[in-house]
This record gives sequence, C-alpha cells and structure tokens, in this order.
Amino acid sequence: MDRFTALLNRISDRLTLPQPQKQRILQEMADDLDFLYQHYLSLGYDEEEACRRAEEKVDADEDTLELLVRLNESSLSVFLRRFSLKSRQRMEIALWAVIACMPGVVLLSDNPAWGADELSAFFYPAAAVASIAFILSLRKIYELYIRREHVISKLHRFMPVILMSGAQCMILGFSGFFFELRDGLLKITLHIGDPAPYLASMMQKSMSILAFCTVATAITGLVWLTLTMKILGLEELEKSFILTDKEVRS
Amino acid sequence: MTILTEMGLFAYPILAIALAILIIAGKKFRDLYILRRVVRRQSEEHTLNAILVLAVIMVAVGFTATIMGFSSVMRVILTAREIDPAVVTRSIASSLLPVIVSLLALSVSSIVWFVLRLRFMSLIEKTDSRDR
Repeated sequence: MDRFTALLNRISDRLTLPQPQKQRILQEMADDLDFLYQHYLSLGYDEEEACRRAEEKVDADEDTLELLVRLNESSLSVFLRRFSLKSRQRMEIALWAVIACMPGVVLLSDNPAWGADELSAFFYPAAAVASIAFILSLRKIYELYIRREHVISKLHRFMPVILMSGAQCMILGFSGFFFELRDGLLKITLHIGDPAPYLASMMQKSMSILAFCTVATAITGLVWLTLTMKILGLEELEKSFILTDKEVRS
Repeated sequence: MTILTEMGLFAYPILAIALAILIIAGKKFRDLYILRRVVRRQSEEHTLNAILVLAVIMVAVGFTATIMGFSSVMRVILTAREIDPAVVTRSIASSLLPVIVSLLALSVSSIVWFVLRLRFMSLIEKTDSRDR
C-alpha cells in the first residue's frame, strides 16, 4: 500500500472534510488502487507500470472528489442539509427548549421518590453511563457555544461517545427491565402465600429502570442531534470561508 | 450449565453467535493491540462491524426465543384443565432468560466494537501521519 502514499496524501490535502469522512474516502481509494494494481499485474504489466496505470485511473478531479464527499455523507447529514442554515438554527433552538423541558416534566410528574432498595441493580451502571453522556455533552456545549474556538478536525470529538452512551443506556434499560421481571417471577414462584407485595416490587423495579433509561436515552439522543446540527452548520461556514479564501488568492 | 438448560434449544444459536463474536474480537484485538497491524481496507472495517451485526442478530434470536417461550406457556395454560400458578410463573421466568442474556451480550459486544473501532481509526491516522 506504501506505493500509493503520495497519491493518497495529495487527495487527502484536497479534501476539506472532517477526519472520519476523509478517512473513509481514502480507505475506499486505497482499496480500489490495490485492486487495480493487482489487476494490471495479472495482465502482465511490470510493477511500475501497474502502479502508474492504477494511479491514473483513481486520481480524481475536483468534481469527482465533490461527488465522493457527497456519497460518503451520512444519511442524517444529507437529510439535515435539505434545510437552510437559518431553519436549522431555529430547529436547534426548538430542540434545546424541548431538552430543557424534559427533566422538568419528569420532576413535576407525581412519581414518588424511589429508595435505594426499590431500585433495580441495573440502575447504577445505567446512571454511570448516563453521567458520562451528561458530562461529555456539557463539555461539548461549552466548546461549541461558549468558548467558540472551533478546530474543524476536532469538531466531531466525543460525539460518537455521547451517542454510544445513549445506546448503552437503552440496552441496560431493557436488560434491567427483563431481569427484574424474571427476578420477581422467580420470587413469586418460591414464595408461599400472598404474591401481591412481590408483584408490586417487581413492577416498580422493572418500570423504574425502563423509565429512567428511556428518558436518559431520549435526552442524550436529542442533545446529540442538536450538537450534530450545530457542527454541520459550523462545517458549512468553514467550507464557505475556505472557498472564498481560495477565490481571493486565485 | 443450568442457564443453558433453562434457555432450551435457542441456547445453541446464541452460543454459536457469541463464539463467533469472541473469535472476531480476539483476532482484531491481536491485530490492533499486540501486532499493531492495520491495513487501510474497506473489508477490515466490515469485519469489525460484523461484531455489532452479529450481536444484533443475537438479540433478535433472544427475542424470538422469549416470544416462542411465552407462546408455549400460553398454549399449555389454554389446554390444561388445572395448572399450578408456580409452574406458570417459573416458565415465564425461564422464557425471559434468552433475551436477558442476548441483551447483556449486545451491551458488551457494542463496547468491544466501539473500543476496537476507535483503535482502528487512531492506528490509520498514525500510519497516515507517519507516511507524510
């Protein structure tokens, strides 16, 4: 693969994209180059000629690179780009309002406070995961909205971890729900007499863990979506800035 | 062994998928952490993603097992003239086991996948900057 490093570096310099997307495009190109190289070798060309021909085929012009960028965009980015920057900013504000309201709604609902013995064993790992998502989200909000020193290559930092924490919270919530159901049913099986207290405890534990994890996942997901919209807007601004800068220089 | 017996026939596909995940993860761990070998290839990334896909399939199998377990319990309740409630609760509890096991496996597998993927990306970045 080393034989194509120069070409890949050249293309990498021409791609103004966040690192993960750039990595993906370069990966695909490296794959194609290797395939073509092997193909030309099998046709009987020597190594140098096979390498030259493969490079000739893959070396992309500006239009092809633009097309590659568009093809490698996530479906969420493609969907969000359908809206103008202004409407996306309005959506962002609306989403922050929803996120701010969600903990308030949960606190105002007349759920009794749960004691430690009424909580599922799964509550603690789920709370730890939710805390990770919360801390990272706060840090990202600070970086994007308060400090506002945007380094384009670091814009997506922590975003996958936030999303992953949300997903983990959901998985733990469902695991806890089914676990508490099973645990309660087994207790009822072994117990002789009135099963009502066990049934109530089972329902309370299983429902509380599911409710906590669902709310935590929903908030994490909404925060992630809002931050992604913000990052997308910043990337677009950066891209337009680079393009005008290039035009001025030329 | 008790868990396997309790899970019934569905324990075997779940075990087989878990084993496949373990083998892929072990191989990737050796490549990325011990040998520190990374190839910039789409297929390498696909192999990594297979961990997550297999874990999701495992959850699907787990849910199927649970639903089929519930269905069997309901059929027995409908056909039996008299049935001990303890038998019913015990059977429903057993039916829940496959989904619990598969969800916990998904949780662990997704963390493993995430960590390996981060390592894969960071090694590729390192290789890139070294080549420059």
